[in-house]
Amino acid sequence: MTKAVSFQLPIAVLLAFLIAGSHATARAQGGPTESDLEFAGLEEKADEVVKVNLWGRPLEQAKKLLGLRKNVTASVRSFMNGLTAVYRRTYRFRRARANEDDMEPVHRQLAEDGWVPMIETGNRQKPESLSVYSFLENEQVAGMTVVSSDPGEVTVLKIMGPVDFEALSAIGSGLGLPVMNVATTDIKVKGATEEK
Amino acid sequence: MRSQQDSSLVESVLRRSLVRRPAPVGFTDRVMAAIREERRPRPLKRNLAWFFPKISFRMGFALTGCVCAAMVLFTLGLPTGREDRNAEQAALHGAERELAEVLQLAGNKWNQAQEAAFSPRMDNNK
Repeated sequence: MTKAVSFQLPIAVLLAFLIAGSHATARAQGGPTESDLEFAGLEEKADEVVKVNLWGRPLEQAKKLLGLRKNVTASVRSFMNGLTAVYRRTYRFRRARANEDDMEPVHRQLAEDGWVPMIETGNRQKPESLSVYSFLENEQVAGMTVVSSDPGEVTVLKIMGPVDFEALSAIGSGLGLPVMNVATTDIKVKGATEEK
Repeated sequence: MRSQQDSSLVESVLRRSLVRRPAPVGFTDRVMAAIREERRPRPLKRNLAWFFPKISFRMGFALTGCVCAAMVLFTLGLPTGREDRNAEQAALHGAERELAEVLQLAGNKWNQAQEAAFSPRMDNNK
């Protein structure tokens, strides 16, 4: 029994170090850990949650695979190669609706983590908002976060790594990446129609 | 007359045959050495015992069982390996798709934000 305990203790300590080490590595790389992107209030209220966590080997493989596709421009490929982590949280609401109070923890969390708002848009006539945050490291943009909300859907996108906004803009215009069926937000459309 | 000659011939042949001859030199030693050699256990060279010289029957049975079990497990594991590879490929394509989706969404939102922030017609006219 004593022998077993004497083996178990170092193994437990080693495991604890490994877990702590991996957490510290994620922090050191400038990337938020997945726990930074958990918004319990939104998750409880949402009918559908989409979570994407891409970093490390899967991200590297995805970048390589996507880079091999046709229509990928050099600037987009270069932008993609610099990415270190990509996260997405989408909360869709059918019954309940997202409101400003639900969004408050998201913005607070980003401010606490050192994200600086670049663009914040809102419309008094429509309960929609769109904010773009940047993360600066050595006076360079080392990441960006997009928070968009409307009553039917809240989306938080976090991209870690040097951001080429021109390449991002091209991607947003449908250039530089192969056409893929981006998840459409049916619920959002429904919500918007109801609002009207 | 003839029968007497025949009988003496037979007799002489018999005598010659029955003459006691001494054994060749070293014959006894060679025979004794051969006997000693015969008593020594022969090495088993023509079966698998040379490979497992001290293996017991039970141990051999257990080893055979282990080999069979390993073969069965290997055979059962083959489809799983194939499924794993397929799952890995699917995960890879999923990751690629997710990356493309996130980038397209982010680019789309970035363009929207820029338009909203810098377009002069944005002011509550919509």
